[in-house]
Amino acid sequence: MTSTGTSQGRITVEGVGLTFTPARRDPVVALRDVDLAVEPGEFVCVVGASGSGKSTLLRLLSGLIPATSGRITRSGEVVDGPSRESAMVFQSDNLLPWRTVLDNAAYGLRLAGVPRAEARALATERLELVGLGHALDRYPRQLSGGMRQRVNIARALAVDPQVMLLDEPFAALDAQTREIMSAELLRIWSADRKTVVFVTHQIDEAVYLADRVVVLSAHPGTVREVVPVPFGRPRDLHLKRTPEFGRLVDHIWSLIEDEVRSSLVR
Amino acid sequence: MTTTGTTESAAPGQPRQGPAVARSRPGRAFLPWLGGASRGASLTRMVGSLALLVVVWHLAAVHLVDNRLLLVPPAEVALALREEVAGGDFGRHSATTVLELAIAFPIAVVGGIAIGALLAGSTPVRQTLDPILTALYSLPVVALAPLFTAGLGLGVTSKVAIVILMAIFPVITNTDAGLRSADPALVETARAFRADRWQVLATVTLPHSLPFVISGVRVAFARALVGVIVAEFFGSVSGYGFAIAAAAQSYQTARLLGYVVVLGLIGLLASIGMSALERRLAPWKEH
Repeated sequence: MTSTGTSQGRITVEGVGLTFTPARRDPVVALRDVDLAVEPGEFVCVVGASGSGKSTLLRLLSGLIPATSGRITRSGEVVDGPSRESAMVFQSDNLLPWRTVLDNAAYGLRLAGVPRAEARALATERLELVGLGHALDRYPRQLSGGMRQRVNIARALAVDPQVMLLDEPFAALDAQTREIMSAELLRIWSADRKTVVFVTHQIDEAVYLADRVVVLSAHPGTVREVVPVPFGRPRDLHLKRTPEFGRLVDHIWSLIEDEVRSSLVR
Repeated sequence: MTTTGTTESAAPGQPRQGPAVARSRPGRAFLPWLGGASRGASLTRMVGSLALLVVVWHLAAVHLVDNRLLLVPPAEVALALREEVAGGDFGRHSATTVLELAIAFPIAVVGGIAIGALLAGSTPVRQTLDPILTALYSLPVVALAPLFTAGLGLGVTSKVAIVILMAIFPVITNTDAGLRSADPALVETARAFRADRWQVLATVTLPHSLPFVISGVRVAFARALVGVIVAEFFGSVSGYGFAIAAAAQSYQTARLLGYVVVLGLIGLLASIGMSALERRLAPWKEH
């Protein structure tokens, strides 16, 4: 089941833990016994109080850091480092200041050895998809936060990964821009349905975007509950103002409220 | 000459009439243009501020400073400089100083970048060399000039040695700082896209360090200029420093100041060239 052709884009996490030991301090258990399966083409959001290891889990999935126990597979293969199968979108846009919008979006392709002209053509397509076809020659410092984050997403899309990993990509944006960006992300995702794991601290954002919401509890970080989101697609922003939507957000909030409160006074 | 100047300067004070108003209209557009970023505007600004310097210099020499050993008017300096050029001395001194800089400065830049890269690349090397380099950087290297002149002679070699020692340190420290200060988030992003060590170096670390290196080179040139002149003071047979020292010993203030003006122009041109280089190599920066 794990290594068949239909496993393209499937992610499995089995008994994964991560313990690290800061210099001259006691070991810290960041994640313990995390079990999770993400189906190909599924949109999964991860929420949890700060300290629940949301971003750490994403870095494990990307292969940027190794787990200290358990096993993670991606498309049926064990994750042992960054792969071209998955692309990461970081919270800060992390664009290269010395590259234009076009060459930033082509960055992943160029690193993979794609010739410049071909990489630029592919990157241009993705930039047009995120609405930046007019800004190819600008430098990042000339862009607004929302535009920079679009370039960041286009850069990840350009390498055509099976899996997109997004780490609070809209956290630094203002509320209105964030609404628009999440609606656009859904539009882009629905076009080719890559597997998406999206970390956020905005519960309403998670419910609006996801097929399932993974709720992490903190200290140590582990899966508290996986909440299915029953709303059909395509979804528009009106969904956020329905009572069913509010009830689901309230339920998830009740799962993590105590931890968020205690994390404020720790 | 003086009378026309007076008439012109009196004109704005006169009551405004038709033509004066008409003239003020382009004037309103001229000021924002002059404050702008266009090449013509910055050239005009530079010529303007140099002209101001000459005027202040002239006024100071005529009305303020009586001691003609200390200051003479710019016109006399220009005359003295013309005689130097005509007599061939200027060409001879220029050839020496330019040759010394042309040998020493590239060595300082390339060597500084190499040593800086070595420091950034290896923690043990940096930990060992850092105190030594800091001590040498803060040392007034020109204090060694008499020693180099004694050991290496009056010719070009002793000057080259001094200039390298003067110029290399800012290049080393800036290269080291630039290579070590790349944003870790950008490095992580590169790694997430499966960049290997060399790709991280080529696409993140090196581009990040470039503006640091350029500003190190800029400081290095200013120090090189000081180094070459002082080294020539302490024993030489030609060069700007030699010419300045010789002029001072024979109380030829105009001739001395002529060479100082030339040095100032060289510094100015180098600075302009360096800015142009920076705009070309680092177009992503705000200038």
